[in-house]
Amino acid sequence: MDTRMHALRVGAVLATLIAATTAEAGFFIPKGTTMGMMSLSPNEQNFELSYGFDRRLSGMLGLTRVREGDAAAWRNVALAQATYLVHRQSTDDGIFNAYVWAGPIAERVEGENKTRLGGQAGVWLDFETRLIYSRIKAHTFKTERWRRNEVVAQGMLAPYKAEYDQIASWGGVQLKRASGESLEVTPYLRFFQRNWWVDAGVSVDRKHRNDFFLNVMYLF
Amino acid sequence: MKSIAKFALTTVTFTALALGVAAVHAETVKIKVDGMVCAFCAGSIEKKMKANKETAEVFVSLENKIVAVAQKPGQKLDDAKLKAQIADAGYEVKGIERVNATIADIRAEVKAKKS
Repeated sequence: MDTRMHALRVGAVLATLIAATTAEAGFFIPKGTTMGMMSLSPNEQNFELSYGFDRRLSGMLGLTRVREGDAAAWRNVALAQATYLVHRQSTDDGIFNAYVWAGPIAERVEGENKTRLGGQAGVWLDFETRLIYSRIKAHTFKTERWRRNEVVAQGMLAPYKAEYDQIASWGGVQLKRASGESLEVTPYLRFFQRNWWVDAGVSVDRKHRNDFFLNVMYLF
Repeated sequence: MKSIAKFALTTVTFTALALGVAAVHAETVKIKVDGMVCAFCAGSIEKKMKANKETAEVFVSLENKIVAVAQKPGQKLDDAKLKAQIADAGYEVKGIERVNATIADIRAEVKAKKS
């Protein structure tokens, strides 16, 4: 009961904070646009549906599944999230974005029958031109019995400046560190066009060697 | 003789009107937009522009940072509305001009600049 009250209080505070901020672009998600996202790897899966409410504010409902350390069971985490574009700066040939997000979660380990409530929050900074992409993301999840922190950095280069009607191709590396895990190093490729986006890679570090990673996004 | 003159005058008038209408048709709104570096992000601009009932055709160039919107015959897009739509997509409008060119002309101009 206490946990529920706590989650409600956290939700109320977040809602107040979001309502108090003036809004301007989504998290890749412009006003009135919906995005579906799915990412798959042997130890983490994400399914998200996002909608741009305003030029700075978007909302997301999702499910994250993680298998930590040597655990055999999946931990299922249902999320609701509000993402806010804190700052966007255009340069001569690039753009810098800073986002923050937060929201409540409900977490349950497969095979158990108790669901626990909590919260999650994160920050995302990216800078991109038509030839360079860089991003760093920190994300934390917390319930009364579980805590997970993730830091993900991505660096990519494009072999050519893709025009609007061309398929953009990128190659790069993703570094990911999650609670209780060693550093995961994943070289990967990215392809996207107007309304679809695909990332695919294979991890090369000792712990995650040959783990396949796939991320697909679609705007509609 | 009088009827021939009348016919000639009518023909000239209609031709002039037709040419005038054609010129109006050719008017395209050319918008300079900052921050468009990826098609996935800028795709929403095209979607929003196409949703306007006055829009005939849209062309986006990341290289030239332009969004060109051709208007349907006899219809006019509102600059303030276009600015607001691009801002809603998360981008900043640096300038709007109306040019007497078709999307094909602008596309050719962009292609020529590249080569």
